[in-house]
Amino acid sequence: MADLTKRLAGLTPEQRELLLRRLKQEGLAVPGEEPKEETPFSFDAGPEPEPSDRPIRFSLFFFSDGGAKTPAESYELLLESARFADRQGFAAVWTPERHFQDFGGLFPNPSLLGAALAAATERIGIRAGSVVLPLHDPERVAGEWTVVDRLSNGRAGISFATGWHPTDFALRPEAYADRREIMFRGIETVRSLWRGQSDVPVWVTCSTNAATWTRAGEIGANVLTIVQPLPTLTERIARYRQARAERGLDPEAGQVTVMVHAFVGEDEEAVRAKVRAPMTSYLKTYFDQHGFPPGSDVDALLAAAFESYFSSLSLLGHPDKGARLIDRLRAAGADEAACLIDFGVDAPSILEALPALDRLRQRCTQQ
Amino acid sequence: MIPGLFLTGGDDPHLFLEVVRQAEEQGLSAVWIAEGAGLFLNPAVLASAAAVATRRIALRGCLALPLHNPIRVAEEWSLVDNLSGGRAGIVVEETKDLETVRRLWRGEAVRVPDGEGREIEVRILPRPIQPELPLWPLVDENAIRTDLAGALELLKHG
Repeated sequence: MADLTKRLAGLTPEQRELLLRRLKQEGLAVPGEEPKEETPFSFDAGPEPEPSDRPIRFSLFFFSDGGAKTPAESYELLLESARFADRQGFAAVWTPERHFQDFGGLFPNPSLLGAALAAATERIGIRAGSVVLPLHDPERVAGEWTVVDRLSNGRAGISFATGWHPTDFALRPEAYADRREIMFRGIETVRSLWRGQSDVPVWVTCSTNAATWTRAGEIGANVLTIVQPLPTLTERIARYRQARAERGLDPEAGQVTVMVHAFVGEDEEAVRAKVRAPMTSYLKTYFDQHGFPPGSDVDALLAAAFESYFSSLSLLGHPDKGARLIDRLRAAGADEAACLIDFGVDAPSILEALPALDRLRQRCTQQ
Repeated sequence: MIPGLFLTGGDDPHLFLEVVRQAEEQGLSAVWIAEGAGLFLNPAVLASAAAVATRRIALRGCLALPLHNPIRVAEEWSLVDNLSGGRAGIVVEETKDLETVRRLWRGEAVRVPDGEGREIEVRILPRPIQPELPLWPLVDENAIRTDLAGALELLKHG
């Protein structure tokens, strides 16, 4: 790391400016949603927000299964964390849909994981983040999640995503080209099948693509997104709530869930040492899948990305810093912080750090 | 002693878990879950719930394989295999798709077109616990075919 910092410092002002510009253009998108950005955004958190007393919930989010040595350890981590969150009163546990690649490859269908979680927990929400709907028959999705909802006595929820990786569409190649419309049509089908029978809440997985936020508002769905700088997030949430209002829906009744990386600990430097390698490797996997900006100095880009995540766009490190991010999310109009905990830290350390995350949750939810 | 239960249907997911737990307590070696409607739409969903609610009993899906993508079948039952510590199995008719499921289960790649029409090789994740997928051409003849309510009666009264 000292080496990387030196390299970053060693760039000429022109190189540095170029790197920062590329970083701004790149940003990170939500898994399952198009990585393309309509509005470029930086890794900076944005200006200090106005204080807000908006209530916020905490949930756990699984999506990369990094850090576990074996699949068995991954599933044990999932179940153990979910049981902890269930006892402590977290709002939900989210699991993803991923195929074929090591990055998150242990989660091929969230309805199966949801059924397992339903049998292992008592009161926590059980949600898919996300079901890549164009890869599925909507009738089957509706039926499987009705089972999860009944197994869990009404705790199920689904976020739907378009998917973006051509490889995943090996499951349904014909759905790739028109995946966005297929997803929205599929949501309608699922809802019409549930009407009068199941009351499973629906989210739409959005990155920063403004049109998707608007559409989510128009159809009365909730939104699942990944942490992004305050100005962008605030604008997207306002746009979403406005779209709800224009359709005669209570704008505030729509839930906005924001994913953030989480590993809370009092000792800032100990946490930094713990999360730096897995977080950097996670960021690298992410850029590998989405493409590095052409000609970028990969190590310097990753070092810069890590630093901005660690300093202001995550719940990594000291709880005071985490509480500031939660305040930013609140001020932006978000309703839930979905804590990504399986980004690559070893499983025993993740479990050990959960009580600190829970204390942060209590501090932020009892205000 | 009941040799095995072949569950053909039912409405109540809690009753399903009760039946599987009791079957395990009474020492049954396996339950079969037949693909059907409603609760039995996807036996892998029920088997996943049963996997974390039990420790020893084998969980076997009876599937109409030609109706499903063999990649998805392999992925889902491998997940059940992992959640249950190696207790998954399926019963299907012998079809071409079955060979695909077998190969994926062993860790082999299959060639398929991706979303952009390129031929690619895919392997399933997670990797299953059992090296070979336990397969039966037919359900054990001795297993008793019953719905959930009937299964509970049998388990209570023998």
